[in-house]
Amino acid sequence: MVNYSDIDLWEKVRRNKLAYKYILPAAIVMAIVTAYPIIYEIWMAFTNFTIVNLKNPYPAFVGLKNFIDIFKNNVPLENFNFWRTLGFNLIWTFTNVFFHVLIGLSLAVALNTPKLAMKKVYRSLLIIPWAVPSYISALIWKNMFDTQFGAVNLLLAKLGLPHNIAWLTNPNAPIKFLSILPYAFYADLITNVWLGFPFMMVVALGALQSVPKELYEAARIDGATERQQFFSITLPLIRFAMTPAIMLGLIWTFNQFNVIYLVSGGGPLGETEILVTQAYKLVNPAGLFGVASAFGLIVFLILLFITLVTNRISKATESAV
Amino acid sequence: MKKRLGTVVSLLLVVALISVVFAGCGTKEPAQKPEQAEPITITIWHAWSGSELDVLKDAISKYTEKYPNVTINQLQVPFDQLKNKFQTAAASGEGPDILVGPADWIGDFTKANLISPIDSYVDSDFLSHYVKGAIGQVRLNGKLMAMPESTECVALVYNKNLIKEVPKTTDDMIKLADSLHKGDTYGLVYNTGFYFTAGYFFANGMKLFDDDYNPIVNQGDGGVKTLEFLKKLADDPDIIAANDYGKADSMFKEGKAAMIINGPWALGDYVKALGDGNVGVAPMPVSSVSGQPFAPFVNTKDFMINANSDDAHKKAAMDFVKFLTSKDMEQEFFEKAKHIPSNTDVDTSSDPIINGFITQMKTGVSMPIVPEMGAVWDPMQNAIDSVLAGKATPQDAINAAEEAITKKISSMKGSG
Amino acid sequence: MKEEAKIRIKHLLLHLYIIFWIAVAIFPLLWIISMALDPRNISKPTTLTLIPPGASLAAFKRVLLHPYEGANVSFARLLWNSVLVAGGTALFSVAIGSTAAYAFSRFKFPGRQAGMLSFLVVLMLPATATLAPLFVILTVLHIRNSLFGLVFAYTSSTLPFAIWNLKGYFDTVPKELEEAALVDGCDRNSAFFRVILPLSTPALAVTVLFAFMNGWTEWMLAWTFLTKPKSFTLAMTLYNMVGQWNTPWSNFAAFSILVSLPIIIIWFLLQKYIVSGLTLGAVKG
Repeated sequence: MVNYSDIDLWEKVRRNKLAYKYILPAAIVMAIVTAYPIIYEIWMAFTNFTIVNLKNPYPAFVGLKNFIDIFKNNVPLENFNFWRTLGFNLIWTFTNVFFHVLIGLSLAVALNTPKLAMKKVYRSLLIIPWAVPSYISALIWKNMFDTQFGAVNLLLAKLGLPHNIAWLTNPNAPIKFLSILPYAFYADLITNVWLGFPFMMVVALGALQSVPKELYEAARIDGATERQQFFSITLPLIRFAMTPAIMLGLIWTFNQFNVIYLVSGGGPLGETEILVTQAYKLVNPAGLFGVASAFGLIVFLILLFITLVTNRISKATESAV
Repeated sequence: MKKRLGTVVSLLLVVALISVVFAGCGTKEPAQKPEQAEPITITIWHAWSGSELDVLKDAISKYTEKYPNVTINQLQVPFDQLKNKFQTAAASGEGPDILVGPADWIGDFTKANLISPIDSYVDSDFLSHYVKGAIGQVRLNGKLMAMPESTECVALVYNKNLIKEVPKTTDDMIKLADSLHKGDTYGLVYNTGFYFTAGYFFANGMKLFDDDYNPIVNQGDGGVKTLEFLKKLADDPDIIAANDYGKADSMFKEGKAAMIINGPWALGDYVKALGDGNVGVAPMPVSSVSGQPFAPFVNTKDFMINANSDDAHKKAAMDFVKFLTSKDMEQEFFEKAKHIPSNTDVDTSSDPIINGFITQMKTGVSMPIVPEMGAVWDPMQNAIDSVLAGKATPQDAINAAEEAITKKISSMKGSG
Repeated sequence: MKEEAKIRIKHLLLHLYIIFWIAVAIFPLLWIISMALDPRNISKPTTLTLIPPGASLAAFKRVLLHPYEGANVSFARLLWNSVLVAGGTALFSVAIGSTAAYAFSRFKFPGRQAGMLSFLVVLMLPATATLAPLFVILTVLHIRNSLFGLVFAYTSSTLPFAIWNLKGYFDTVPKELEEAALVDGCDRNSAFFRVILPLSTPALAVTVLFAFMNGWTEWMLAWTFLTKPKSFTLAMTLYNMVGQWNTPWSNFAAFSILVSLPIIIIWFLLQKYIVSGLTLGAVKG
């Protein structure tokens, strides 16, 4: 469009008045709902706010004490270990999103195959995990990982594989080189992959629809194999629609409360605790609002960092203009 | 022209939307009048369901018939949301006049000034009709902070089709359980939550606090001995010992567990699932370690009064609470909802099953409601879990629990 | 002929692959169905039989007639409230999200990058400690105890997705199309409403579906804010069934199915748009 490089800032703002108008309604809603709580949380993070202060809000200012306590694991909560939790949280996030994208995209491509029968039926059945409220599915999966009667162990037994695995309570890792990961991690992972792949599939399907069929025809005429077509046409074109979804997926999974809380409960012995479930426990039952707020801010900064890095790598905010 | 059109269309869309949403739900809360003689509306929040809720509804209709100027709104809230909901609302100066909750909430709520003492509404003559231990439990810093409705504790619940006689000692219990395990059917499904196992910790001599509420869980060998006992249960392939309420509950209902440990709240379902006369309740076996009887926590369900309510509402709310804890209503709670009454005038002889709990209660200990108690649950649970998982020796686990409780209490005091 | 055989084998493999994942997707739900039909109120069936002994539809009847035991609220009323909240959240999110997404996609204005990120960033702050201040602010606005307050709160959590998803899609719509419209005398507004939005049906459908589901299934904020049974939602009353000790599992399972069903139906309805939305697609310029 116009070359902006030689005009001043105000002129740029003036020329784009319409853009600001378009954003205004969304900005107002976000500001009203989130601004005050966020400012409040920042303030609480520097105080020793506890349940007592809910009604008489004059906690003492404690400076950076809450942050230092968190980094030193000096918090009165069982199995509190910030660094282990952070490490686990990162492994949790990336393994989940990897499988979400892999399964979601592969199914979308499969469903996008021309002339494949039953497509509509398949598509509808495949989104069912997404359509069930996640706390219902989490409770069901928890039952399926039961040691004696869970469907997972029953299935393993039928296949002649090792069974009677105490999925949710055995802290001993099944795979030697990943010794920080207990069985419960795999239970959480399976549950969350089950919950999350339909979303990526739907986004990928939406993106694939926008790829014009003519391009494939042209490529076919040029003698490109299907594999070549996928990597040189499909992937580059859907990247732009997929990247924001992947970034959102990272944030959601990073903060996936329901699955961890309801399936493994952060156990055994806090080994599958992620940052948000830890933050929740700081408030309920511990009632340490000040520490919880500081914790929240730390989580926020970590996520911001991850997002900025991924953003730089993928250039997702780079407009098509 | 077209520009205007676009703006108008988008504005209309938003306006239409907002008005649609508003139209469905624009009701305002009725303004509450402070005058006492005037019609008055009081609200009560609770997590009661099933037959206990039916009794509450019945009480409300009886009461409002008698006092037509009073309107009572009851709101059922999921149990795990109730504390948080009350806390959030009461902290902003709102919330119900009456809250129904367990005694262990009283410590936090009193500290945060969310509930108000009720001494001025009751006299000693009135209180003499209630179980001493129950009244003692809801007293904090010399003030009566709530009115007890019922008491609860856990005991041995057994399936009469599977066992004829209840074991007398824990060694007998283990032997019996081993002999009963066949395929999917287990003799004993033991819940290892601290609430359910506390009775053996106390039987073996462990104490939670000294007189100044400093933790002393690692003094003596009660803690270690009990953890060893629990580990023995967990390692026995013929016994299921896990911190899993739903599992014990389901297996018992399906007739696949001969003995479990549970409280009076579950009986209604069990009788329904297994048939009348097939469910028995008895005190838990005596600990073979110390020869002492099982000493479970005894806890009350209480009515608390919101500190935000004005005097007229407090008085009206207390009048209703007195009605709910009167002999007639407590009798109804006992008969229909199997609540063990805090009112001593209630005749409980009619129900042998419930009497199993009442017998067990005699060897129980009253659960402390000081905020320090809140610091005990998770560290003790953690000690149990880590020993059962083979991650810590009983001695290390109980020492770690002691340390964690101390740390929690000092952090509470630091900010209190 | 050989080509045809190859395609057949390929399709067969694809069918197998898809059916495998369908089996994975559906298997846990057999448990819900089994629980709903089971009259014994069992949370952990020890054997897996789709049709348990004594199976009946009584649980469905019970929850339809009496969904919330705390008060006399009809299933229809709860359903209507859920539709209002979920529908309101969906329309509100798309209405204000699409304009913002368009601005982010098509204008290169100062603060654009920061603006985009800041919408995403608020999602990153764990909200566990902020329930109390949110309660206060919605009370001050006099919308706390109403469905509109919920729509408002939910929209703030669905907007980031709406904006990012739509922006990602708008980026793939060729700007030549609007430029042509602008040359024809349209202004930006009508270019957006008449050219971009109609071309973006698939992304709009996904966004609507997502926001709708968010509003449909959320219960934690709802339970914190609402005190009038007349304005309760299905998700709230479903969650309410999980008791401290006793949960009527048959009813819970039956209710879960009833709550999930509308979402699946809506998916069927929107599927058409997602599938056939764009045939002459947009190539990114």
